[in-house]
Amino acid sequence: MKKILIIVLLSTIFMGCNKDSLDKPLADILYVKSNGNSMPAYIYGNGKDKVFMLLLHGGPGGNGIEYRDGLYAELLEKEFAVIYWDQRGQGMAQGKPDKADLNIELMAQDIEKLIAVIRYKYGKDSKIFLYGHSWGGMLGSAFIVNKDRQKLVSGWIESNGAHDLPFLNIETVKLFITIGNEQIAKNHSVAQWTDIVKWAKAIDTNNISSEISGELNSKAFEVEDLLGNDGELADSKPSDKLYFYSPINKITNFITGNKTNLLLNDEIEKTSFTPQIGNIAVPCLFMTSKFDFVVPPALAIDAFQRKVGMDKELKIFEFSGHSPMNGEAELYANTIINFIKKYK
Amino acid sequence: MLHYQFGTAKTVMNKIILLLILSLSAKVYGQHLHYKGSLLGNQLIYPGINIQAEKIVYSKEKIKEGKHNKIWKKQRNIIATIDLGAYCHPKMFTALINTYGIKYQKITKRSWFYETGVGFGFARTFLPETYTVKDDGSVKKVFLPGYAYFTPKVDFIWGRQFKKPFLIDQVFIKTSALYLLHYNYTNLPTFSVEIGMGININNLQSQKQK
Repeated sequence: MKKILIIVLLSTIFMGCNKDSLDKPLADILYVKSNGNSMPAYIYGNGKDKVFMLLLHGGPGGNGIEYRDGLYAELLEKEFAVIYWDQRGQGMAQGKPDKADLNIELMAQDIEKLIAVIRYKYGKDSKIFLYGHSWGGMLGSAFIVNKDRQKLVSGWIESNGAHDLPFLNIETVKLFITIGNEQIAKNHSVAQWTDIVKWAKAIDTNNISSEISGELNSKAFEVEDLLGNDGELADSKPSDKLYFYSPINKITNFITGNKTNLLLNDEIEKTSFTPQIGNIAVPCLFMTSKFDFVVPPALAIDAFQRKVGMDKELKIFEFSGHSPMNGEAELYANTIINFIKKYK
Repeated sequence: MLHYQFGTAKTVMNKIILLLILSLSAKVYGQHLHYKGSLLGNQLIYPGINIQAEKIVYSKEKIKEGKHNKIWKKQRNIIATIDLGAYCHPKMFTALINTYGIKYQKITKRSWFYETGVGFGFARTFLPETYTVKDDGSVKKVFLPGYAYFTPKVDFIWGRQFKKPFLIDQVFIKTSALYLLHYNYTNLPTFSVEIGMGININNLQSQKQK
């Protein structure tokens, strides 16, 4: 019996042991422990040039590895290494953090620690581009608007990023009305769009409560189905990843991610990084989609205009909703690849 | 921070090893323990093993004589249990679980048995390569990274006793719901299904004596 116990213990201890080599494609998993939580980073792709794209997932309540799906991820990983990271209290992060400490600033500090660990493991000359999608755009903005922290990265890529919730809610209402009327004029799902436009017009944009904000978010995902059925969106290929092969435990991810989302919700609803975008001194790529009702294109366009200097790019995907990496995968990946190659 | 981590891990591991040795060596002191070994699937798909030592603390038996002088026996037992198990979530973590429980067992006249149990214990997770960053910005690798969670549990077991006294005296299926308390910002329920067998060392000894 003792022998079995010793074998179990030894296999546990040596489980994470592997040789670090940047010549072959990276496939590493490491955890970063910070303020009561250990958060996994899944690092895949070409590490030869020590160029990393640190991916901040959406949610809160998502996970990093769900972004490693499809053609765009394959194309990105051919060019450089992608760090798919599970943020605090989400994905496969675990530990006993204190609820009272949870806020966006603490999560931005987690990113700083992850970057320190990446440089420790892969070399101080590693170049890191920060990427945030959706909620990841807000979290990444919290990191990047800080003048000391932004020196740690070579660039900021915000895709459909929600860096200003009050602004986002107002623009979502406007977009429902504008696109709704366009769709009615095109004779697309007229009955549904008529109801949506009527509902949107009734919202007082000077006083959007968190309940209305939640409704806007739900409706935003619903209308993507309408647009898809009416041929406005590029076909997006659903994930073919099997439950059995994912390192993510979907039950754990659902339960812990939703709780973290709930705890952050009040802060997120009030947060706006728009006034601080002028602080960003590193190259920026702002990406958005014409039919993104979850995070309307106005946010990316506004951020692009506010960013000081010429080292900035704006890309609008014409046939996509909130996740252009699925529908316009090749164009999406190439936009990122070209930006990183230019500024690495 | 590193010292704290080392201390916590070492203390928990020492307790688990000590409890295991005590439970498995209890027979030395004349206790009649029954053991169960099983393969488990945490959340159905993450593989693991579990060993249970159990002792009847209360027993009620009804014996009836049927046709052809056949004897039918019904039994109700209250059983104390100690479990030690482990499961692995490949690449992500391994968990050691040590729980203590009490269960109610009903054995039918045809030797099928049903058990319902409750208990509590501790789960210790072991993470792979983990780093922490100190206030001065230096990076350190964490020794034996992972967390200990308090874990209440509920078990439901269905099985069949073998009438002849072999070393393996029963087979069973067990479903368990185990709560990891204070996991991230909430409490995490995990579910396991086990397939296993009962081992009665007394039967082996009596067979040898024969």
